Amino acid sequence: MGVIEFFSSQVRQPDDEFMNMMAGIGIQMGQVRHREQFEDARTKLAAIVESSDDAIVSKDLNGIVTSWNAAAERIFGYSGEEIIGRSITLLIPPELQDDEILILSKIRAGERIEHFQTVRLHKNGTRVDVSLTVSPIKNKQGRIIGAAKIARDITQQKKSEEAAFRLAAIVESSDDAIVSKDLNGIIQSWNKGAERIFGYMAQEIVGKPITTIIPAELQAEEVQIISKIRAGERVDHFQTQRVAKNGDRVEISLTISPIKDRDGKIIGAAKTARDITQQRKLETALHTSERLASVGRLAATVAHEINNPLEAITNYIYLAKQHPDLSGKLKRYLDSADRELARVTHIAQQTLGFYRDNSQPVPLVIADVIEDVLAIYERKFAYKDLTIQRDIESGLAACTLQGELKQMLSNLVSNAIDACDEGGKIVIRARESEDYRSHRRGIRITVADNGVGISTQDSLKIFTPFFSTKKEVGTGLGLWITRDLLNKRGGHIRFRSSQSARSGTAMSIFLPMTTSMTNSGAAA
Amino acid sequence: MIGTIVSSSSLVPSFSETPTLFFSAEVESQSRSVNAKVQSRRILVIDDEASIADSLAEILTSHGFEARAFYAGQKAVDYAREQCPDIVLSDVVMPKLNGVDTVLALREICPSIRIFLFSGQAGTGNILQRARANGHEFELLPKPLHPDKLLKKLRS
Repeated sequence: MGVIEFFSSQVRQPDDEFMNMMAGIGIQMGQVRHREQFEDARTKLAAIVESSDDAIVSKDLNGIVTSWNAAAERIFGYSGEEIIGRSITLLIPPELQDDEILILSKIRAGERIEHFQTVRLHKNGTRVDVSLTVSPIKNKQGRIIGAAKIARDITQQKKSEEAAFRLAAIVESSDDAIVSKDLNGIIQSWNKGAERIFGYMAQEIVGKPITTIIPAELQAEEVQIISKIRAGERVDHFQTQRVAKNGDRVEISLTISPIKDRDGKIIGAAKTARDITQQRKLETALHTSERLASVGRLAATVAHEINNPLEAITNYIYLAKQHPDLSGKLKRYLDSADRELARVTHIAQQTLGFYRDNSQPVPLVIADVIEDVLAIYERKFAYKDLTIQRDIESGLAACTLQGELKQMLSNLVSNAIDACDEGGKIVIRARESEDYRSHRRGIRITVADNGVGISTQDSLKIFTPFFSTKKEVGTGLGLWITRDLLNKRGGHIRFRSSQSARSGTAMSIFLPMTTSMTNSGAAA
Repeated sequence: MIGTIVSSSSLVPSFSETPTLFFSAEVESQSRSVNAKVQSRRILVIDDEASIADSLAEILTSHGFEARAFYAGQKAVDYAREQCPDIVLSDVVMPKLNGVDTVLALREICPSIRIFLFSGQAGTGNILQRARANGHEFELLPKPLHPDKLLKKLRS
């Protein structure tokens, strides 16, 4: 008797086949009753050993190779002639030579070594990842005389594992949500990106249906997706919406591919979802600004067509009112017409005038600018029964860009109105002032309300584009634009806010002025 | 509409006429004090829309100015070569000679002329921007401008 070792170059499920094979060997050996039977069994065994994909090698207790099958030759490169009679340590890398001492000592103690993953050397010097199973071989008397060693080449398996780990790392580090689900739509895996985008942790959503994150009105999408996947089709860059854990809608671009097993059977779907909420918002903003630009162009054209006739009508009513023969009744009619005309004039100037070219600063009386802005919101003030208190330094004037200043004030006043409850109060204060940090002179305009106030949490975000607490009506751009305009002019915006006792919010803008002046006449 | 039409309104006298001007009853007393410096109240009103030029000239006349309406910048410039006005009130966007070029030409002829531009806005920005680039800054009065406000400006 001697020792048998097995090696295989194929990656297979651990050892079922081998165990069957060993059982076969055992049965064969048990059946040896007679010499012929024994010879017959030996032939069969030899055939099994030779046809095995695993390297099967036997060695004595000194580690000298005593048999070597075809798979061993394929896996390690040595032929039987080359290696039989030489030490098994030939296959062991220098740093692992102790392995053999350990293995032999275990074998001598009658122990079995199973699935010991290690490295062996090929004849050409390359390293081979192997899984070793070593069993003692006993003689008739039960004395251990050697070891049967089966080595399975797991180089491919290792590579597959490494590739799997690498893939897992890529999946985990992805900014996109990468999710897999089975054909019933049950979530099987959920990466960090998915956690961030949808708010659910992997442990709380794996095992739940994917429909958990699909909005009610879009549930039918999943049926279509699953039927496409079943048909082996891919879904590419499908733009849709999903619902995060906190109820927020997330705009996503979905790519879904079928997952197949090794037989090519479709067993599920891999989904990659990219959060395109910001991208969508930017697109909307761009669209809005394009629309505003075209409205601006339209306004400029319409302005000319409206303002000129208004000028003529204003003049004619003025002349008519001067007529000496005017009856009291006619005068009253003309006064009424004049008042209505003043209204139209004001609206035309406020709406169409906003688009006036203002690429150069012009001398402005601050009180007039404030009045112009307040006039736009007159109806809203009345609607909410708001009290407007003006506290404007007399004669305050500045040379600045009218459109910008009006836009900034409009944003502040509009926010104040929205913050106020019915019967609330808005105070507008304007002063010539000095910035305490830069010591620059300028004007400070404060719009204060006694409304709901800004929460501490929101106060960190109010200057972020697209942040709005006014879900339906807010663009989330007003304060961001205001701050941007001020920054460009070297100014700044500050605010105080409290939600306690309705003390409200005070937004204060500082605009530095190179020259501060009182209203001058025409510049010629 | 483009040619120079000196207003035919009987209320708007020509500068060549003897200054027996029309004054409305309510401004008569005021205009007497103005009369003394009537030489500084000759005003050209230029607008390609006749209704605006005419009505403004009439209003200004009724308030003691010697106002003359023109519907094209070039005609006003030609007129100024004969007799320098004290003030010009001009629309900006006009065919051929625009308001800015008109007042610049007038300033060449009459260096001390006071200039007022008014506009209903379309295209004004570009014209004013070009003027600025050449170092000319003008105040722009928006149309529609109430006559009371205009008179205040002119008297300031």
